[in-house]
Amino acid sequence: MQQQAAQWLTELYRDTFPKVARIVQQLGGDLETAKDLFHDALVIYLEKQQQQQLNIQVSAQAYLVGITRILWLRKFRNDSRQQPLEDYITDAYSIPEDFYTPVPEKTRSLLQYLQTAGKKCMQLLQAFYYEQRSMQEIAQTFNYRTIHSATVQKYKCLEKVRNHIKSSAAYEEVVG
Amino acid sequence: MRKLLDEAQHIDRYLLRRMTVEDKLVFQAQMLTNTALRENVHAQQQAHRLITLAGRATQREQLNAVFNNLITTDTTFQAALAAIFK
Repeated sequence: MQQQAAQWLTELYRDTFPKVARIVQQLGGDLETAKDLFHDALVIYLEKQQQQQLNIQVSAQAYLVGITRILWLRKFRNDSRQQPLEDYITDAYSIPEDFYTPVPEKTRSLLQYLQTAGKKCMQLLQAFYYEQRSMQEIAQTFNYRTIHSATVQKYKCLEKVRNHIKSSAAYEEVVG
Repeated sequence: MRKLLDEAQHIDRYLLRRMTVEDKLVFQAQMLTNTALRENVHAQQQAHRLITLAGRATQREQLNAVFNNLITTDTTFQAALAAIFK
């Protein structure tokens, strides 16, 4: 199943990225910019797909091209001749609210710590909350004997992350 | 421990909007009077945000790996990009 998904993603990437790259190049961007914008568009697409919020009437390819254009405009919207983005963004092409929320340095450090010190926990939490996989699938992938034991472990991990957040907040208060 | 896990599960139901309207109102009233619960809800919301950030970072790593694989093994893909960024 995961192998099929990886194959699908590779094919979608192979067939779509050159189209996106051409548009970005015509707008004045380079390969790195094209890649960054395309990856953001794919992240948005995959998140909406996982959350079953992908309500589109066009192909995945056309959708990704559209989202990349919107991301380009948003990135370089300082040009006052451009009309406000909100005028032509429909719900289907909306960018998640938190996509552009700046991530404070302290949050980055905490994230980095958790991704190394609590790697297995973070993988488990990502599988459930981000990838929205079922607990049955998670129990199998992470080798838990029962769904119940996987669920208990998930909440233990969540509790661990929560405590790190609380202690880092307390630390911030101490150091100002 | 069990109590803490039950609480985490309960907070999740609130944050993931899986509570009935009645349960939500009761929970919100509890938060008003229980400082520890309020702090835990806030921390758990932050935890969800961290998990999303971690998920996106992992996704981007995977997409970079797809690009690196295609650019080194797929000659049609290589040629298409070389023609665009001459």
